[in-house]
Amino acid sequence: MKRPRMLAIIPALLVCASTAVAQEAVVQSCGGAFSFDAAPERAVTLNQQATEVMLALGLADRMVGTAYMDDAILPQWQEAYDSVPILAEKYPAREVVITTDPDFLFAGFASAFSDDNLGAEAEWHDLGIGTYLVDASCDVTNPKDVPPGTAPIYTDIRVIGDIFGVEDRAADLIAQTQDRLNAAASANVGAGRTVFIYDSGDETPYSIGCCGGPGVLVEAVGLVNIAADLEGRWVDLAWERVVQANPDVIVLIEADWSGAAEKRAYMEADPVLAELDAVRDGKFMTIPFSQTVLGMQFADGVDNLSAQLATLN
Amino acid sequence: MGRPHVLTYVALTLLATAILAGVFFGTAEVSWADRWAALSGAADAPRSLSLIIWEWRLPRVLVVAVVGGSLALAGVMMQTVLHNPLADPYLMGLSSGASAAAVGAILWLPPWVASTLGIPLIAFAGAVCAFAMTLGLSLRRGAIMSPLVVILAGVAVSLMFQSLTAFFLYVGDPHATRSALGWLMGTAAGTAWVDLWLPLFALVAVSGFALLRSQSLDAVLLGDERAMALGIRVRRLRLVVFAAVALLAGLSVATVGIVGFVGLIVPHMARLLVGGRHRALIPLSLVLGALVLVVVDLLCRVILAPEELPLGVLLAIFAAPPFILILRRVRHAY
Repeated sequence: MKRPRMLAIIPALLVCASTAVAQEAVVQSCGGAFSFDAAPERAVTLNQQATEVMLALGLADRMVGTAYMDDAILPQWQEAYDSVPILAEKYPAREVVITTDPDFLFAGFASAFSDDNLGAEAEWHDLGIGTYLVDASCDVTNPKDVPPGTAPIYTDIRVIGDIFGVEDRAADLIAQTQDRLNAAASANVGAGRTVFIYDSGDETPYSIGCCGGPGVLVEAVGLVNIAADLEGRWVDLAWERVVQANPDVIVLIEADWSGAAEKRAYMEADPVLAELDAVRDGKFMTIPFSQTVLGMQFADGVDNLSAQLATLN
Repeated sequence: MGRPHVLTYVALTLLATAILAGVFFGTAEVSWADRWAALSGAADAPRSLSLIIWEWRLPRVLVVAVVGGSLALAGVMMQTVLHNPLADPYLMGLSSGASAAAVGAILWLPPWVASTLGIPLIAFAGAVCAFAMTLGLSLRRGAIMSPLVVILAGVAVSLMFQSLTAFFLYVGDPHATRSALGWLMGTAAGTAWVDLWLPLFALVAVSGFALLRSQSLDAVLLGDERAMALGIRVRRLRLVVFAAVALLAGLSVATVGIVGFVGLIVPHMARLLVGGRHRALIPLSLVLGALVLVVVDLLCRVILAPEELPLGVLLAIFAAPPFILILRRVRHAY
C-alpha cells in the first residue's frame, strides 16, 4: 500500500476560499500535479479505501461506479453504497470505465494505474478525466522505507474535500478522526509491549516492516512491532526471528485470503512456535485487513485493538 | 574405480560439512557458545534455540538434502533413457502439473480443503495427473514411442499446465497469489520431520534400483538397438524409470515446490567429473545434488536475514559458476 501525497494546492485555494467556490483545485496525485476546473460529478472509485473516503464525505451522489472491495462495506455506508453501481469485483477493464462516462477516477492502490489495469494517471488526464491515488499508496510521496505515520489519512480526506468542494465536511471528519487517534495515543494501552504482526503465509510468515499500515496501527495503541527495523511495508520474516524476539502479543490479520483462525492454529501446532509465551498464554488479537489500511476504518482498527488489548490485560 | 570413489568421498565430506553449517547458521542471531550447547543437547542451552535447531533447522536441512539428491538422480535417469542432455526430472510435466494443482488449491479451494488434504498431497496429485497425461500421449498400442515423442508430449502438457497456472495467478486475489508465488519458486521453509520420511524412503528405494540396474542404464546409452541386442528390455526399463522419476520429482515438488537447475545441471557436473558410467555417476550425482541444494538453502536463509529468499531466486546464481568452472576444466568428457 502506498500513498500519494497531496499538495493540495495552496495558491488556488487562497484565492477561491473567500468566494467559497473552491472547486478549482490543483491537486498533487502521486507525483503529478493535476488541475480541476470544476468539482467532479461522475466519480468512479477503484478500491475499497477510495470508496470509503467518498462515502464518509457523503459524496455517493457524485459517484457512478465502485470496484474492488476487500471485504463487506460497513453498515453505516451500506445504503449509500448500494445506490452506486458496482463495475467489477476487482479492477474494471478500461472500456468498462470509459462507458460510465466518468470525470474522476479514485484509486486506493497504485496497481489500479498500472499498465495492465487502467493505465497511467496522466493518460486519463489527457482525456479530461481527473485521478487521485490514496496518499499512503504512493511511493513517490511515501517511500517504502519511511514510516508514513497517520498523516496520509488526513491528506486523502483534505484533498478529496478540496476537489469536490466539501471542505467543511472534510474538516469535520479530520477533526473526529484526530480526536479518536489522540485518545488512543494518550491511553497507551500497549505500554511498549512487543508485537508480532502475522499477515499471511505459513512457511515464512508475511509480516509488516517499518512502513506498512498495520505497523502504524499497532504503534497507534502503544505496541512495538518486532520487525519495525526492516525496510518495506510488507516483509517475509523468518520464523526464527519471531522466536528470538519472543513477542509479548500477536496480532493476526483477518482477511478473505488468509483467516486468523488458521494462522493461530498453525502457530499452536508448530512444536517451536507453540512454546512462545504469547502463544502458550493465548495472547492473540485479531484485526480485519480493512481496519489496518490507512483509511477511513483505521480509527475503528485502533479502537478495536485497544479494546482487545484491554481484555488481554 | 579409484578416482570416482575418491571424488564421491570428497563430496560426501563437503555435504556433511554443509549440513552441519546448515544447522549452525540461520536467520536467528545467536552466540557460538549457545549453538554448541543447543547442538550437543546441553542442559543450559537456551530452550528456544534448541527447538529451532532440532525441530526446524535439522529436518529442513535433511529434507533439502534428500530433495537435492532425488532431483539429481531423477535427472541422471531421464537424460540416460531419453538420450537427451537437456532432459530433466520435470520434463514430463510434473512440475507444471503440481504447480497448477497447488496454485489452484491455494487460490480457489476453501481453506479447509487445503488444510485437510494438505497442499503437498494436492501438488503430488497434480504431478501424477500431468505425468499420466504425458505417458498416455506417448503410448501407442501399449508401447512407448520414441524419446522424441515423449519429450514433445511432455512439453505440450507442461505448457498447458503453465498456462493454467498463469490463469489462476492472474485471476486470483493478489494478496493470496503471494503465497502461491513462493511455492512456485521453491522454498524449504516450514519443513518438519514428517516431511522427511516419504521422500527419503523413495530416494533410498530408487537409488537401490538404479544402482542394481546401472549396467542396463549404461547399455541404453549405446542406443536402443544396441541395448536391445545386449538383451535389455529397453521399453520396459524406460517405463520403470519414468515411474521412478515421477515418484522422486513428484515428492520433491510436493515438499519444497519447484526447484530447477539441480535435476538438469548436477548430472552433467557429475558426468564431467567421473564420466558416464552409472555405477560411479549415480552416487556422485546424489551427493552433489544434495550438496548444491543444502548450500543454496543456507544462503537463502542468511543473505537477507531476518528475511528469507525462495530457493529459485539464488539457485542458478550460486550454482552455475561452479558448473561453468568444471565445464571449462574438464572438456574431454563431451
